[in-house]
Amino acid sequence: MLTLGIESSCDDTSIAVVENGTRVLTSLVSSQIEIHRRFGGVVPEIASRKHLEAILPLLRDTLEQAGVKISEIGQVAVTAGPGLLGPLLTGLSCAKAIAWQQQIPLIPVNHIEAHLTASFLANQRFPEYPFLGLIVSGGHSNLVLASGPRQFETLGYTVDDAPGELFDKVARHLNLGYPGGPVIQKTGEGADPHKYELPRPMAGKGYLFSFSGLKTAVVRLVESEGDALDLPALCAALQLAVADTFSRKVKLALQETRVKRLVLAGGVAANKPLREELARVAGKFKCEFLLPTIHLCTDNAAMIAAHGYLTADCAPENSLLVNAVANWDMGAPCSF
Amino acid sequence: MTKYLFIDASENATYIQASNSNTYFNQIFDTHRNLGAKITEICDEMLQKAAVANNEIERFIVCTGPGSLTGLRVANSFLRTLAFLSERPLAGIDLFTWTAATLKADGKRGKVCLMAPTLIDKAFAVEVDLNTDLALYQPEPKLLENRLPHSEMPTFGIRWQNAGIEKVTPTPEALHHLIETQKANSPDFSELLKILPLYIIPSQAERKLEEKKC
Repeated sequence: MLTLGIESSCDDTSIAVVENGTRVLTSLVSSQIEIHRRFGGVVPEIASRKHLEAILPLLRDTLEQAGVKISEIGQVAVTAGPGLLGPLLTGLSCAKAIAWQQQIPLIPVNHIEAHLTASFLANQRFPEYPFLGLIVSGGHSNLVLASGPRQFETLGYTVDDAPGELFDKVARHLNLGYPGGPVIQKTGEGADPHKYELPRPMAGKGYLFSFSGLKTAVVRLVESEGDALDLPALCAALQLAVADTFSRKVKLALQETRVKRLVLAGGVAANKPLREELARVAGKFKCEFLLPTIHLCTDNAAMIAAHGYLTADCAPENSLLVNAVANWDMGAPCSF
Repeated sequence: MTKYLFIDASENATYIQASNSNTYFNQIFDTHRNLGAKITEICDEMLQKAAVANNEIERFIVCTGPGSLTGLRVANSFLRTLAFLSERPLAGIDLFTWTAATLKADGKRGKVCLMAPTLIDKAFAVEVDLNTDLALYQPEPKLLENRLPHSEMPTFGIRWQNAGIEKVTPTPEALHHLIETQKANSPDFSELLKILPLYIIPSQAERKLEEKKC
């Protein structure tokens, strides 16, 4: 069974073909990073315009590179939410046209759930349950206990900024560029992460996250240090604070749930200090640790196709009537 | 007669026109903020009326605006994908050309000004010579700071009226005539990609960036 995946929830347009849910034949991404860089963040209207321009060439190239005809595609999986409505609708409309014309099933996919599947897809295997999942990206920060393809218990979430948003905001404040995560990691490479002491937000307060206070702490530190600021050390300290914050919550969750599998996913899962810290935690708890490849960390359609394959049975009966939704809780039914 | 499917999603209600070999059908659907959900359902309904299967459509035509950019993009993404998959041509028809064709069909001649409201208190305007071949007309709309007539020409508002501006509603007959007389685009991939909504004014973020530069 070949599944065509379509992803357009933010600023990356992506289309992929995945065979039997685990073998990626092709996964192409058209990134808009350069376009949004000058604005310091994603502009929804511009993102929508660019998705519309990019999606058809990407569809053609994906089919060509996979060496398959559209008639060989068995089902279409598409991100229906959460995300930016304009961009989501462009991908959804394209997916609906394919499903309607080819008379094949359309599977609406929850983007955040799909990020977790990406970590298994990186190892060409299906998810095994239960597992503890940590999804960290520009818009999300969720700690969940997964017991099935669409069964999630949310343990923790951010009450304000997501970690990717924190990195973007700090990078903008420091004039480092966009996106913030990669530039902060590069700037902080080899620096002493203990030179500056940054707070560990919500430490000792259960599973909730908060990152806006960390941003304020960085702004204050920059002001107080003035010309003496050691920028690489600040970037290293910030990453340590983020990694340590997640590490504490994950340790607590592993102790309480006693699950033996930890999955890290989302765009910020590409952050090296975070990957290394959580690998240490998993080792300490004798847990299997799964994380995506760098390509599968960022928004991509391969994970949408793989998760669509897994959750095809959960799709609404008349899925052609599904609409895009800006907010869609993990595990919640797909709304019309 | 060509079997075609036309979608105008420039407003909250979506207008669809479909034809079979003998006649055409049209309907307005209430799709307020819900076109993304309803698009296949309303196309099914129209094609059923026309007794045409979706793989029998010979031409796809999409309204390029001006109007609701979200609606225009949904219709555009849907129809251009269908055109690509079926290797059939896609054409764009803007509201200015369609309205001009309506006025021409009504016996009007000479130069007229067409206006469409946008943003707060602003309007798009074009001048068009109804004596020319409208199938070849390429509008170049200007953004006006107010919604008042700005020339000596007879001024018409598209689905809208104001002091000194007469309301015109584009008609199904004029659209059908325009589609039938318009030379069909080639189904080439490069031609498909040229059909985009009318982006007359930059996005708010682009405008702010320009202001900053100034």
